[in-house]
Amino acid sequence: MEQITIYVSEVIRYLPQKSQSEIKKELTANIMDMVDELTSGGMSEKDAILSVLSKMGNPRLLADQYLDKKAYLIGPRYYPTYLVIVKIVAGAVALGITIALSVQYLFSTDASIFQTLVQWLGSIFMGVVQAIAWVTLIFAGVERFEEIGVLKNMDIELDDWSVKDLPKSQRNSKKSDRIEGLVGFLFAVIFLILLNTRLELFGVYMFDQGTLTEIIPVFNMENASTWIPLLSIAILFTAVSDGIAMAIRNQTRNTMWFRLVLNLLSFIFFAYVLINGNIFNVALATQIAPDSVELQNLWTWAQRNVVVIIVIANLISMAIQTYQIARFNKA
Amino acid sequence: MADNKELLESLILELRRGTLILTVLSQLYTQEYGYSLIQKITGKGMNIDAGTLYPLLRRLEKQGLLDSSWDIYENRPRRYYKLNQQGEELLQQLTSEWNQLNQIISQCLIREE
Repeated sequence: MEQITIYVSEVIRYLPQKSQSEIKKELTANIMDMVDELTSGGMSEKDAILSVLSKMGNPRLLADQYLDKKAYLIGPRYYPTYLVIVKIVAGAVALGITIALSVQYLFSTDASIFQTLVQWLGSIFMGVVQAIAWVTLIFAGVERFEEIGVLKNMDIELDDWSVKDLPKSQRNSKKSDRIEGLVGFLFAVIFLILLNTRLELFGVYMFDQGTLTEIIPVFNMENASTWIPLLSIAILFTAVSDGIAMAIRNQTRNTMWFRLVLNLLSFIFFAYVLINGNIFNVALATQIAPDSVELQNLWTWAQRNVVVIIVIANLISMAIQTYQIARFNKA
Repeated sequence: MADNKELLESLILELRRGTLILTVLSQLYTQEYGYSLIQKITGKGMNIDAGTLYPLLRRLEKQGLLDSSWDIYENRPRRYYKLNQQGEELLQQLTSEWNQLNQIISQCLIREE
């Protein structure tokens, strides 16, 4: 009898509080019925309990049946994409760290090769583990959101498909789009890592007779903590958009819209940071050549115009995307 | 050969899994509690695991196909399940679907020479 109580409590401990007492009562009664059946046939109570409980099986599995929840983190629909993204992100992170540490080693006067190697191994391990964790978390999130219906609309094209939705001719340009996505994605991830870990590497490298004397930062180091997160978010949006272009072979209207929205968000963050962030080192020109007025003018001009250039580039790319969506709708 | 037997078992299991809900619903025109339902179903020649049936009953109730109530007057309190209006309608639809399927598959299984 005590074994039944223990078995039932082992089952319900995995279940939500509100259903525990109900299931406890019901399951106990059912098990007792099954035991009664066996004992009335002449079996001892002890053997009957043993037989019934082994037939009911592992309490954990029974609890899973009651829970009726997905027993996997990432389902078969997203798994292939997940694998591709994990490999690429882990690779990009490893590459970014390698570049950062190589540059650091090459330009550092006091770092030993052994020390750098140990640091490299440690950073790669931590970086790759983190990258995998994040990608997994995002995919698991997508899987769960889909379950509660948030992402249901993304599937409209899958359900409402008709032959009319086929493009007029075979689309062959996809490969170049995907490579473009891959390049953009790798670039974004590497930039993101360098920005957040080795900001000092972005600078003008000053040499004196072949040896590095100083790196004059391009960015404003003093208020870095205020603009780096914003710039990171902007880059992250681009990275996800490029990631989609890279990972999904057949772009649908929805993925195209989704990418357009991501690019728009990225654009807003970029524009905000560039205009209000005060992200550049104003004194760069003075630090390179204190007496050159031309250089100072050039730097002032560049700071102002990088905003304009990026804004125009973004607008053009979004216009192209909008055109592609329109063309897709027509096809 | 052992592999073949295992494969057969897993295929049979899969085949039966699809018919489980239809079987359970069909036996609930009158009210039953967990264990009585198992006996009723096994009595008709269909094997069903208690560990599968008990959670399934709760799930079908949650989906709005069954009504349940506790009977506390017996010497052991039991939870009884019974088809409700929606459950009956759905069962009828499932039944006609099953009959059609049965015909089609029977046709398919006739070996053409």
